[in-house]
Amino acid sequence: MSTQYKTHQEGAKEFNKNPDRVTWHDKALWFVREKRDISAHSIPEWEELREIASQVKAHSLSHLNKYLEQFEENAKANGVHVHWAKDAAEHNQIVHSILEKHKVKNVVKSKSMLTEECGLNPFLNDRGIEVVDTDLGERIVQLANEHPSHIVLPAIHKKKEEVGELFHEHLNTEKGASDPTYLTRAARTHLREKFLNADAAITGVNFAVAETGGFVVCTNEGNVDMGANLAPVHIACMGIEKLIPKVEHLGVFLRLLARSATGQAITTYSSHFHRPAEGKELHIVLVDNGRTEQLGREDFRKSLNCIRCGACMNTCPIYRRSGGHSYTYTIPGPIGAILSPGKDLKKHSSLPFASTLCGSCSDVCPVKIDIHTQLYKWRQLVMKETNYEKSKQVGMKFAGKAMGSPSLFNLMGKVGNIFLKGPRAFIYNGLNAWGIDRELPVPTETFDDWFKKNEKKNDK
Amino acid sequence: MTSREKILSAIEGINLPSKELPITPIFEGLSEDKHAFFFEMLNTLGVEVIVSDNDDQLKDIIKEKQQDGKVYSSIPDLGADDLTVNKDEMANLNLSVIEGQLGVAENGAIWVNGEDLKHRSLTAIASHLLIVLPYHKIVWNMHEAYTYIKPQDHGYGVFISGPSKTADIEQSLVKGAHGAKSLIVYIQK
Repeated sequence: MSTQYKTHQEGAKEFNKNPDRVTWHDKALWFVREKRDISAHSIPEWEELREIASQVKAHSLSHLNKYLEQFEENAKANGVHVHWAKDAAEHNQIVHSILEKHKVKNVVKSKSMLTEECGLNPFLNDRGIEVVDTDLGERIVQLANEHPSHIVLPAIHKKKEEVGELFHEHLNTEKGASDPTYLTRAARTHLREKFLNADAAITGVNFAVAETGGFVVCTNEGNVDMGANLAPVHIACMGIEKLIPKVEHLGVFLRLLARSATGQAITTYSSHFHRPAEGKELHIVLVDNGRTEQLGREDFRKSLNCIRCGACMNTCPIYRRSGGHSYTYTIPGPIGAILSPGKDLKKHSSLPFASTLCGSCSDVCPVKIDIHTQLYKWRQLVMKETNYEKSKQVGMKFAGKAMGSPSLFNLMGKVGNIFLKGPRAFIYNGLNAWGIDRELPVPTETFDDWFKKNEKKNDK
Repeated sequence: MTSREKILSAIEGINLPSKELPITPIFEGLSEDKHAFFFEMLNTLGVEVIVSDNDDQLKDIIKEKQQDGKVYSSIPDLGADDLTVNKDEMANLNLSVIEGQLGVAENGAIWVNGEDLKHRSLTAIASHLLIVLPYHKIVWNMHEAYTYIKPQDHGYGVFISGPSKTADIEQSLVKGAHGAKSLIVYIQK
């Protein structure tokens, strides 16, 4: 699944047509980032926890076979049905076949980025099954016929007036009403009916524990506890990288997850599932969909540490000012930009460039993924293996030559100065990729001239 | 080859060098007084905290909530209503009274066992929730909590921290998304 834009630049340009909205979006996310800071700084062992979490993930990935088999064995012993899906298509088919067997017509779904990644909703809709997203933010974007613009705050791009309009149209709320409490109550009533009438519930998985065969799902709203506990069938879909070895590791990850995501000490509900309730069915679908490939890439393996907290998005100066929909992948922001090129290098070639490489994403990452380093490495591969921004490649090659030769560099500096002082068309034309969307400064002299002058002054 | 075999053999083929599993310490508490910290945390979460050495106040709350609907209680003899496991009846519950097994001071979370309840959804379905927790069953943090809680012993179990909430509309915090609109924690001394 992808958004409507071909490149990140294209989406960002669209988003930036409304500067007030950009400022508003930027501030909303920075507010979440600040809450994360306060929360993280209140834990003296925060850095130690990050290190442990990172090592636990590295260990789990290095023994993924063993843990997958152990998890399967224990889950089966618990009376859980375990399925394996090589790719998105197989995942969708498995889910559909379970639903078909139970003659399911109505499904409630709790937030799962994996089912977004696999395009499950349209697949099931085409087969006559209604899927209702129950997380409020996800329901908002579903009603608006959009995709989540953030993995934790799916409707962060929407203003309350827009939500009010949407609810007026779909849920019969009063026209013009935009009070968040009023709108949330309306959604509560609307979705209760869906929960009570659902034939099956689909949820994501935050952590799966190999030694017990169980899994944990975290929500603030309680939609998992409503959906999964009311419906006769519960299908939990998870990427194979969600495995952790032991129950004790839940302590580490649950302490990090919510604090990194929203600044809360923990989510309202951390729901642990090990066995189906009497007379009900519990299914787990283990999904690869490109994860084993990523595991095989030494430089990018660590991206599989991700616990989907969204901290890298909240802190990213590019994400905050371009919005989640400007990315060409389901998961936006810095983490999306290092996960997506592995899926389709050409299609997502612009994403590793949607970064200043400031490194803030790596600093806030609770599982210590070297996000900015991976962004840099994907850039190398994009330039080598795709036709991305060929016009810049010529310029870069020439710049490389110029920088390697002092005399050529000085000459270019002088020529550049003349060009920058000259008519606009010298710089801002179709041939210069750096002149697009960017005003270049007009210097009064070259650095070399400035340095020579000041060096003499200092000598006096 | 089945997909299971394909996935497992793909991982096998990568042959990753083994990484060591670190030891997880329990970590010390921030506050000498974990009870005070726990109560403070609950206050921040918008939870009403009642500390009592008897059931009187609990019975009063149940009576009061019965004026606006039915009340379920997993603890007998408190004057709650008889509940049939019928979705509509459960959906109209005004209050669900359930037992907490362990409280966690650092985040205000309380562990609840699914099998203690007549139906698993009783952790979320009633308009309001009341959790009864023994005073001595409070630990400092999640590491300590998991040395007592064995989630694998319970088909369903959940840490609940405050009333259900959402901030999905313009980051405005609203209590009562899908689960309880309010939470009372009744600490029994």
